[in-house]
Amino acid sequence: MGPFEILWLAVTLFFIMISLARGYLRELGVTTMIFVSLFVITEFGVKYLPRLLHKGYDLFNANLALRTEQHWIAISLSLFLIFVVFASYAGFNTFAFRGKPLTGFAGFVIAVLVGLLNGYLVSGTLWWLQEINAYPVVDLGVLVLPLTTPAEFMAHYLPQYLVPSMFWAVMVMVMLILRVRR
Amino acid sequence: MNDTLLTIFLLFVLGIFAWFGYTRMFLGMLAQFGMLVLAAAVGNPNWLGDTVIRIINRMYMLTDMMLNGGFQLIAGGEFSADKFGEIFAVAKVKPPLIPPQNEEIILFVLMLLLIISSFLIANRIKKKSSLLLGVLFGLANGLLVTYLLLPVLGGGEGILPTLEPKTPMEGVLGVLQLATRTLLAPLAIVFESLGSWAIVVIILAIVFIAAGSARVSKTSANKS
Repeated sequence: MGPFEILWLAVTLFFIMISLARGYLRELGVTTMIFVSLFVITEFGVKYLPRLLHKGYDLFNANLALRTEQHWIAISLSLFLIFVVFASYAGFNTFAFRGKPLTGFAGFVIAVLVGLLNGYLVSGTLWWLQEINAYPVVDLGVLVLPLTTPAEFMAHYLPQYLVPSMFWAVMVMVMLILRVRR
Repeated sequence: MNDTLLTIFLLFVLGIFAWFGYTRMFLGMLAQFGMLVLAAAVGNPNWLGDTVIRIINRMYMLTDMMLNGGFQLIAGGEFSADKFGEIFAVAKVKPPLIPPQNEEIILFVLMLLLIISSFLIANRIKKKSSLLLGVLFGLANGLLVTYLLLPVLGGGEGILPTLEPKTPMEGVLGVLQLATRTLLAPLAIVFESLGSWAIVVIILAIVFIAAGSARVSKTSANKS
């Protein structure tokens, strides 16, 4: 299969398309839920899930190999993020910001920016979960290693490497304040 | 020009353009941006400059040919390849309108005219559009004008890269590259000064711009 950055770009493009189709005010609701899940993953998920896994394996007197643990962590946290994102799109009344979005070119640019932000956060986090777990997805034959030169460059700019986990919690509060302000 | 003067000059130009972007709004600034990119291309011999000079010189030669016998041939019905060839041979040996030693100054004047006309065009666009994008494009235009004029003022280069294309295709790509880099230059400045914290600033900026741009009617606000 293809290199990592192609998947990253595909996911980001996907979010930009959705943002253009749904309007950026609805997408800001999804952004809020992404912030929530990023906080949960970075502050609790990567810390407590390994302990939980070890406890579970101990219950059955089984030995948890390092590679299996990496697979479990990467898959379960990725599925959690994907589930939260899909849940934010589900139903008629999604968590959206009130008002009418700007139309015309300015509205288009803002929708692209919001889509880009959502795409960067989701695809960046999925990538980061692979990175900190030594790329378990490679064992499934889905993507190939080593990373290409652009991918190595991009890997330095994953959101979790640039932003402390508490920032996501702050952003959730900011989003809620912005949501109820009007 | 020393560094302090350069910084003051840059801030002054950016300030004027930001204000201009605020008053003329996005569409005016977009039109001006297009004209400034054209000015940059015409001002550089490797991009469009040489082509423009060649076109002017050929137009001059063609006019000269028509005035010195070409019209008479066509009007008199004596048009033939041989006679036209003779007139062409005479016109060809005459010096061009813009000799090579004057090309640089002519291109600079043309670039200045295009820069001035970019303001006139931006002034003519009265349609209301986004103020915020107007300011951002105004800043980009300010950077581009600084890039074009600083070498003349002795400020050197460094704000934007100097591109030296070898072929016309590289020239076209260079213009596109210059336009993209000009628009991304403010982002590069943010990244350079804030390091990895720039991403925090960018996330906050996107969220505040998007949430702040929504138009909420009073009735819908009261209902919720």
